[in-house]
Amino acid sequence: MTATLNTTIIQNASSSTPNITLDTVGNAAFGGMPYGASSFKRNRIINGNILIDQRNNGASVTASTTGSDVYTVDRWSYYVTQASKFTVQQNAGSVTPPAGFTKYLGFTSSSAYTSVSTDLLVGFQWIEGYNVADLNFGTANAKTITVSFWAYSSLTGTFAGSVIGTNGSAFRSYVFTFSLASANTWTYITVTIPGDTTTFSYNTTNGQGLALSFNLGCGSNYQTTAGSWSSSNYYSVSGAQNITATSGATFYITGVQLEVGSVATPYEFNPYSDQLAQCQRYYQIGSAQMSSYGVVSNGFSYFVPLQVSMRVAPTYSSTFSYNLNCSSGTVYSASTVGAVHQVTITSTGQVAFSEQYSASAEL
Amino acid sequence: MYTNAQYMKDMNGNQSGIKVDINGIESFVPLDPANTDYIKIMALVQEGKLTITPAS
Repeated sequence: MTATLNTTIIQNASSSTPNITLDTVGNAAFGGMPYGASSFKRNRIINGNILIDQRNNGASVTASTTGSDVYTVDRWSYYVTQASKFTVQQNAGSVTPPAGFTKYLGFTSSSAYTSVSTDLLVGFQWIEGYNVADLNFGTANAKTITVSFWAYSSLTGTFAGSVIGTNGSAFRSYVFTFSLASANTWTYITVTIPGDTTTFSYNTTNGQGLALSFNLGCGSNYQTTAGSWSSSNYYSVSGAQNITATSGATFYITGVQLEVGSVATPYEFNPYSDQLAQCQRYYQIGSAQMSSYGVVSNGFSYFVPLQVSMRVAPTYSSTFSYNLNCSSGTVYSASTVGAVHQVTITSTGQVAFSEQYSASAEL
Repeated sequence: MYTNAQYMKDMNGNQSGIKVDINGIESFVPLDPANTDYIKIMALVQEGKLTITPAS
């Protein structure tokens, strides 16, 4: 049964002014400020609609590096204990995304691999501690959160994901499951997760705050029962689909949102420029070009500011093109706002070079 | 993953970063204890799996 409240003004009994005034064409004017359970922007996931892919610009990446977090599309990474069991790509397989979206994150199995107990193959996003500090995880005041996303797979059945926190040495995790009943069909998933009230020092500054992960091929050591918080890093449940077990199997996601409360609200779209800037706090690419006069054996140094202040002083990778009388480019004295770049002058006279760099301050 | 590590000096002769190959790509890691690469490099050094040569 539905009911309609027909009124023009909603006003607190103790107030002398309306809280909400409704007009005849669908508008609502607030007398004060509207706010929800959180005053923060709702979605704690960055690049949840997979628009930004600075590193690969839509190209496929084989998950070949084992034992460390490897970033693919912006803010999203993989961790694997077995090399080359799947590929990662923005819009892998070129299927039509859900309405309102243009991009998705696609994982495609490269073979039929049976995971052993110690295997960990996941895709995930770390959220910076500053951006989840208000959740009060690890305290009695921990807030309920809701994760929502669109999922698509060539397989059907039960899939698994988890929310994970760390204090640098120990973990907390909450495994959840979701069902995809129809193959090759986008399905909207919502999962509500109670806040973690067990005493634990979640990072609340510029380190790893919370991770949202999706199982791709975990072994039994990383499986537990879904639906409760655990004092370890679990990612899946027994019987959940491992896409890496089926050659060519796919798992795609987009519209990923993690927010405060027990209700999944519509995906929070950001202007492209805002979303790019959010990503650039963790990774950015740039270029510099110089032409000047130099004296042999001296260094030619210049400060290159970053486009957005980064999470920490970043790691640089630079490709120099030495056009005239210079070599041996380096980058040093990096800070969150820029770094000194330098080439060594090989002959006195005109010096010319260009440089393309990436700066990474990932979690 | 991390190979050929060497400290770098700035124009004043102060230690200013580490030049290191990360997965074969020449990279420059700042001496920032919150930088993920710096944390991993220092862990490898502590485990005796990586040596950082002095600046040239």
